[in-house]
Amino acid sequence: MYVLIVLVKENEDRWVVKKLPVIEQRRYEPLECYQKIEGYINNQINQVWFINQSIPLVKASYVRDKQVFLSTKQVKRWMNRASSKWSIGWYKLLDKNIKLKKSDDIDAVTFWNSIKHRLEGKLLHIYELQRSITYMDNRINITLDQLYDYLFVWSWLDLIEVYSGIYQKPAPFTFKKRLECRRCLNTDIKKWQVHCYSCGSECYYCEQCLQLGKVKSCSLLISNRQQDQKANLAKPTIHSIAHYIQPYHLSDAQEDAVKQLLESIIEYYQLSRRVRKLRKKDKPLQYLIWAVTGAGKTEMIFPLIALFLSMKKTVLIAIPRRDVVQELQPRIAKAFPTYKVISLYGGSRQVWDFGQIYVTTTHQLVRFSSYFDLVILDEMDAFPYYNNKMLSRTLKRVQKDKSCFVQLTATLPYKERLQVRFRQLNYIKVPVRYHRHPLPIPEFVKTASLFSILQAHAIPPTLKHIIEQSHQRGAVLFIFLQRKVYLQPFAQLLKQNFSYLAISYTFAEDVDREVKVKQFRERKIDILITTSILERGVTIKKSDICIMDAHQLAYTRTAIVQMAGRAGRSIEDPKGFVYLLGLEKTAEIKGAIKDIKHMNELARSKGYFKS
Amino acid sequence: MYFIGEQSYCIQCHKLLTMYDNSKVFIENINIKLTYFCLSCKYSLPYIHKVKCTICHAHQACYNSCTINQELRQNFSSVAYNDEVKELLRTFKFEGNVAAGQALSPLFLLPIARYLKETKQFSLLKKVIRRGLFSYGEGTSSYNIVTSVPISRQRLIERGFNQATFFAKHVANRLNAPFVNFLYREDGFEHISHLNKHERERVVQHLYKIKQDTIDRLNSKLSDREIKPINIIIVDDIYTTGNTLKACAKEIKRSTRFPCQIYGITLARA
Repeated sequence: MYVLIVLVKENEDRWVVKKLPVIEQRRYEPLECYQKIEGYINNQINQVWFINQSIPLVKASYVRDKQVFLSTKQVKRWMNRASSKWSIGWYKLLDKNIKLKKSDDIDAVTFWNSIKHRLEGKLLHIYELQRSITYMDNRINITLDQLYDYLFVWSWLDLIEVYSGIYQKPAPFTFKKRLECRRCLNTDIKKWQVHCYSCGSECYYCEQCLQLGKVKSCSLLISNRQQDQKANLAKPTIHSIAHYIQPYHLSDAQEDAVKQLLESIIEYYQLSRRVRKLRKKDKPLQYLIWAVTGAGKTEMIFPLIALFLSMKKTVLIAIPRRDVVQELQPRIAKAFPTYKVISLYGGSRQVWDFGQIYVTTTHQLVRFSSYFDLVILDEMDAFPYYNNKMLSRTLKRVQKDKSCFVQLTATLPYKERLQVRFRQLNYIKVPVRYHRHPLPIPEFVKTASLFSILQAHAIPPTLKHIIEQSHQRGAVLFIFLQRKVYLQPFAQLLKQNFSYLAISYTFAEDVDREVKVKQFRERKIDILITTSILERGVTIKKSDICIMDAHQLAYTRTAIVQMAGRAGRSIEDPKGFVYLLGLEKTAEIKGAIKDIKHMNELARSKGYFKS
Repeated sequence: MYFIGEQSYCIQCHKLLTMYDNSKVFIENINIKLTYFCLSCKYSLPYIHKVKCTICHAHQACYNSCTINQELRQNFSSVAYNDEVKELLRTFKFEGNVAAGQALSPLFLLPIARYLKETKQFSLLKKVIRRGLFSYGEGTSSYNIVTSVPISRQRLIERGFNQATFFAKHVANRLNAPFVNFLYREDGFEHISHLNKHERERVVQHLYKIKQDTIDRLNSKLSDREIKPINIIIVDDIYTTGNTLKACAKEIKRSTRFPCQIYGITLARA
């Protein structure tokens, strides 16, 4: 089943689409088809480009790569051969009985200009593009059938690039045929034998990005054709380093780290490619900033962003968690009032806008491709980004070539620790908090396990001492548990023994978690019992930490450091207490204490502490 | 499913599967091999053990006044329409996860066995229980034909597959019977899932139409011979009021020229 499309060239830049009636391929031979078409097209044609040649080529390209549209090279070659103002293309429609409507009067080019900005730097599924057009402009209700026509014209005019969703990855030195999802770059695609009705043959789909909309091998992904890079080649004006650092009032330790970072970046961009190769500085710009908890990481980003904005480049700040994105967006908008800041997360309203600074969750990056010059990843060891292959792959895809990639953490996981040890990663340490006091060192106290405490229904004297001590000091207390089953009975036990304290508990599925945290911040709650959900991203003045069952396997080295980092964050009370209650002192606990002590010693040797 | 050197996860609770999750579920002398589920999820599925109404296969009290009518004789289903089954069917139908459909399809063994007992095809039942799937090229049994409830063409293009046909092909493979597409659904109607019980009855009547070409071919082949009545099995995913199955059966019964009995086999019973 084929449908004929004719492009009429009116002016230099204006093309109009016209459709001709349907011809069934089964009934007629290709030559007969050709004669029929000639009948349909009236005497207006001077010269018709030879169709018989095109059919096998179109079919071949359709079957092998599942690519519906012709490449522009082929078309241009044929156009030159035909040398006429008429050119004819074929494409297979998916269904037999689709009713053909008269093509709309909107010109392809003018329509393109109205929706151009929505495709900027993006890789969209065809359903997403359709949704964006119908939802944003209430006037235009476009059907999929019409959209296919427009795509056909735009791809001919070199405005967009159209890809198939899943394609066979070229692997020259192996016999393995590997399929790859073009959106999430997943290479292990299962081969279910399911007949796909929308393309009429066997079709593969990607399982990993299924929740973001199904990508099949016959579904189309659309991206804006990239502009010439010559426009960006003009050398930008770069000020001195002090110009970028001064307005943000950083501390000594922060300033040293930022200076080190900015010097190497500016050197990279100022040198020409040849000199860079000679001096062996042609490595990609990748940095890891290892700053302790409460060091003021977000303030350290600002001079970096200011540098890239002055070079007229786009900036991305990717964060795994959604609520942190919502917190960070107004802070950055306040620091850079002249630029447009866009925050993207599940259900945000700015999905189709474009600006200079993007603050997004890591899942939203699936829609982008090679757009950003500076990529900052905050909390790289947090769930769901860490150990998720899909997200790390897409984060690489988003960067342009010659871009800068900066990761921020408070704690290093094992894999990155090895990379740092063997100098594969450029890293910068910030060993002191912004108030220039040493980190509180956790103290191990041997106590019975939580299960036996609940069974005996009596609080051990060590825990009793900790609670009374923090109450006399006027501080609030965090208690971390491993399992949420124990939350309710443990809270009840504490309430019986300490009737003068307000005690509450939260967990991941709790509906009014934010309300409880807010109350805790206002000191209406004295003791908050949580699982590891409040492990990071919470700052509360004058608080103590207590971790139950610290010997358990779930409490890794990084988790203990993060939880200990909740204590003593404010200037008024820089010294908090951290207690680890458990049966034995495991290697993880020893490692965490070693990490914190190491950072304190480093800061002391450099003279960052307040005397 | 457990392979050596390959990780795979439970389709329902997303836990890593081990060797010990490989055992079968044993119900009514049948081993059901659910390879995509972990052990606890396998046994927590709401299988229908006792049936209150033999005609519509209700596991709770049947409020419809069920009588043996000429169009749809009986319905058989395997599990109750639980929240967990609902979630699995949603991922299969709307998200397009074929693995969920593949995981659910072995559950059809239970209603198939009940259907074979009811129609007294004991020799076939023995084969189905022992061997499961038939090998290719074995002689087909001439008394069963399998069809499925159609969906509209527009939705077929959106999803890429019909979930009822997916199950029906599995059933046909189990029974070693031919799969024939009798029916099509007219375009331009909305979903019936959000409609009232009485509204459904009104809407459904004119929704399903028969394909004239295929039914003519069948009529010409089968009407001349004097044989036992042929069993036509309609496969669907959910049975709620039974109006869709009845409408399909009515349409088939009206146009056939040979003696036939029509049964329904569904996955879930609401």
